[in-house]
Amino acid sequence: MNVHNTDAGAALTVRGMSVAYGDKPALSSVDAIFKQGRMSAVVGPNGAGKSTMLKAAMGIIPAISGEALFFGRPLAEARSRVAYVPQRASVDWDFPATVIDVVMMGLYRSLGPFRLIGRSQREFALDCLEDVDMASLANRQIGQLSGGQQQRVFIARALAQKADLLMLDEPFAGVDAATEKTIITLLKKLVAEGGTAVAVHHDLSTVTAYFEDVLILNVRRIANGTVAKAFTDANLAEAYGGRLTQATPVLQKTV
Amino acid sequence: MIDATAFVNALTFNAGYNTAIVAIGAVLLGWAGGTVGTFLLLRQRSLVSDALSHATLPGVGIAFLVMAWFGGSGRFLPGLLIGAAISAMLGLASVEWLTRRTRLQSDAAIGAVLSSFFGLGVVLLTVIQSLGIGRQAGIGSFLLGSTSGMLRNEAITLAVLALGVAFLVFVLRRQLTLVCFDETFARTSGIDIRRTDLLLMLLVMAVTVTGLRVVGLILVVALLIIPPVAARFWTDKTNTMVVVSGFVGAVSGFIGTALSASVPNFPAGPVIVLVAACLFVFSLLFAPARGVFYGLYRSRAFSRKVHRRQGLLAILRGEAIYDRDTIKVLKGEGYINADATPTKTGLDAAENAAREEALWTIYLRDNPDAAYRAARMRLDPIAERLTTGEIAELEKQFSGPAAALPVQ
Repeated sequence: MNVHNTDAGAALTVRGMSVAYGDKPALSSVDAIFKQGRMSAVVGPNGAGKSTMLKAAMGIIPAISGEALFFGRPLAEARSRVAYVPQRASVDWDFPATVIDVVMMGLYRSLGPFRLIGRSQREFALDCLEDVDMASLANRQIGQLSGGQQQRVFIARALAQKADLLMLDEPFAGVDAATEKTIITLLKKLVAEGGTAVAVHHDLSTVTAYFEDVLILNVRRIANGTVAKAFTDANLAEAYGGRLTQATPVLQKTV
Repeated sequence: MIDATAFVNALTFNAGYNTAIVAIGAVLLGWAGGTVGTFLLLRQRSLVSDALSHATLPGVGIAFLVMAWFGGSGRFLPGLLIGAAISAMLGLASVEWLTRRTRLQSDAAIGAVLSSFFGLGVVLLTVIQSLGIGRQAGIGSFLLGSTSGMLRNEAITLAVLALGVAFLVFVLRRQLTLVCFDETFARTSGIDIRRTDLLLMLLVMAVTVTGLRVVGLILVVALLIIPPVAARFWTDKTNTMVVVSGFVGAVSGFIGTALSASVPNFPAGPVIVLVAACLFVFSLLFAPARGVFYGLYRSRAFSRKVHRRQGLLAILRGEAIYDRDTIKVLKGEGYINADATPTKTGLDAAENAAREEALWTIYLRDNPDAAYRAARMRLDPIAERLTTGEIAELEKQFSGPAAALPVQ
């Protein structure tokens, strides 16, 4: 049925994706493959289009051309298998909602407009919070949380969607060390159980420790593959303009 | 002045058939406005309703002229409301177009559309009044509303509207909440943002157009904005806010009509809005958690906590305490005796305070960027602020309460 046999085993395939804001190009014909059962990072300098690629793939912003296939199908046919975790700063945290309310939002799609939230849904949401060590703060207003705690609420909401693929936009930006550890441990566990994670990541020093595959991006694709093969000094120099050729080995040593 | 018997009669539906009809209509309208207004506020579109209501006026004028032209009575209400709805839609579309296609910010676009449509409407009404056709008397009441002579049919219209709004809000509540809180996430959940916004605007328009007759187009926006901002003071949950806001709107409608029935020449619409404003001010001042007075109480409570923590640490270090406020707080809690020697509870509390202080110090060492927040949080019991896992992590690094004592 699917003629693109090379895509078999891909959780997300991006083909010829071009995006522009007005007449300013943000992504130029990017091809990338993110394999199932792997942890993948999207890295690149500021303004390289990392978040843009994720958003365009998820249909949040329109692409000029190109397409994104999830498990070999367009998003509309695979929506329930994909969960998106937006940047923490993208919402107003003064919104009238408690921690568990936000996690429940992950269930809205499967509940539809009429089914009411019962005890089993509540317990499931608490389980999701337990996975990110947030169950004890379930009834707090979300504005009272620390940055790391807010990020973990977002992850719990994605868990509630029971998706096979997690798309995370800067999950480690501005979070404390304990949160980073909790999230990465959880993601690794999900991936070990057959899940897939694709994360926009800005900290080059942790790429090798956290991820198996990588896409290096700077408006166009620089490299895409396993960390061992693609995350090379030459590729990084191409993406970051040589500024990091010195810094990278030093950073890697400190891990 | 206010006629107390008439007021009580109006509140108990004993002031006659017409007053009862008006009261029921106003309650339903207030409730619908408060309910829909909540999502409008959370979507940060409250002002759009202002543009929408002002944009109804030219529609009313044109509908009147058209109906009079065809020989009918220009005052046929459903016809006027349809005209109002059409021109409101045009106004809304203009605001949308201006914000999307030009560099105008939405506040500027709303201002421009609001004043242009309203200006056109006023010109049309003036022309109509000079023409002397089609029984135009009373058409000016769309500006400030008029409940006198409200008919049973109109109350039924309001009831149908309220039921329709209730049903639609119930069906759309999750979708609206998602779009208001997190638009990107909503989109990835397969929700059509534009369609949701359109449905919300449809609800707003339904409330506005039916509210024209009761409170008038200048003030109908108050019924969409004031109840939800009042409700926001009372709750941190969206669903509760919808209910409280509807309640505030309904109570305003009820008390407002009762007042206007018991005081001669008290116009119902503006009085309803004033009652809502009073409820808002009351909420602003007295609501727990977010109200002004609670805020004052909280800052007092905070300084008490500071004295308590300082005093306890002093007890643990065996230092003499001179600060009178600190002594007062410690005595009040039973931590020290009259001669300033610590009690048994005082010593236990001091031990505990030192432990929490030490844990917070470790937390801050790990999270230097949390310093500002932590200065406030560290005086609360740590279990209320951090998760069990976070505390366990801190306790691993904890070497005993001595860590809180200064190095000698």
